[in-house]
Amino acid sequence: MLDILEALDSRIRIEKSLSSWEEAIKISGLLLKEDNIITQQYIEKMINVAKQLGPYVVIAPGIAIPHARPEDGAKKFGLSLLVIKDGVSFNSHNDPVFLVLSFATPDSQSHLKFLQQLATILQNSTELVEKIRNASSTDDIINYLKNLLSAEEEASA
Amino acid sequence: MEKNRPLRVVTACGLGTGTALYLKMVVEDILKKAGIYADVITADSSIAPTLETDIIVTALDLAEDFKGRAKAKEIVAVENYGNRKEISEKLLEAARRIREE
Repeated sequence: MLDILEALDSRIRIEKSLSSWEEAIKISGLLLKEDNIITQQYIEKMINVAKQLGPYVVIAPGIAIPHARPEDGAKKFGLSLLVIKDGVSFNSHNDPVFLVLSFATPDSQSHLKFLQQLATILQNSTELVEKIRNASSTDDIINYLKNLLSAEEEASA
Repeated sequence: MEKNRPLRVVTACGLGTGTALYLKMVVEDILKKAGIYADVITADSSIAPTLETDIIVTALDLAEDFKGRAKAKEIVAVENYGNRKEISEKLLEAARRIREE
């Protein structure tokens, strides 16, 4: 089962500011689509889910995890990370959102390890958001996540 | 509540596949550490309010929508999924009320 770093591969993008949460989902969705993980339809579904069900995908201060159903066009499991330095509003109590971690899974199992790791690293979500938001490059972000995840693994071993 | 039956918990999100699964893992961990025997399942937001269960654990935005129509005895509304203390306090408080019935 893939962990966060493997699932993320190199799909990280940093933006200064964006006009709307819809644009944020579109950009992070395109990163997945370019790598043939999802279809165009999946991006539209992610936006529809947030419109219909509200901003519940903003799971912690500054962090959103948009997704749709496997049958909405998820070809395989994968993640993308969009960093919005100035933040964008999702109309959530956890606004502004700085990290948009979109994911797709073709079944109900492939993303379990990702969710487990997410549950671990979110326990210090304030620092996570600040470090990633202030990173100067995508390599910095990957290195930060690498260190964070290996430290967590040692702690739980 | 009658003794020796597991506490029934439903973790819910919009689709039942992402944050509900996330919450299921966190909730199971919290209940296990508290020594509470429980049966935890996931559901999407169309099914969750119709389930006759003890507790629904879900996001604040969805909890507002469930209120008044959910068949569950308790609804735990989570604001920050990273805040284990928040989830734990709200969940164990709801579990205590169920036990005292």
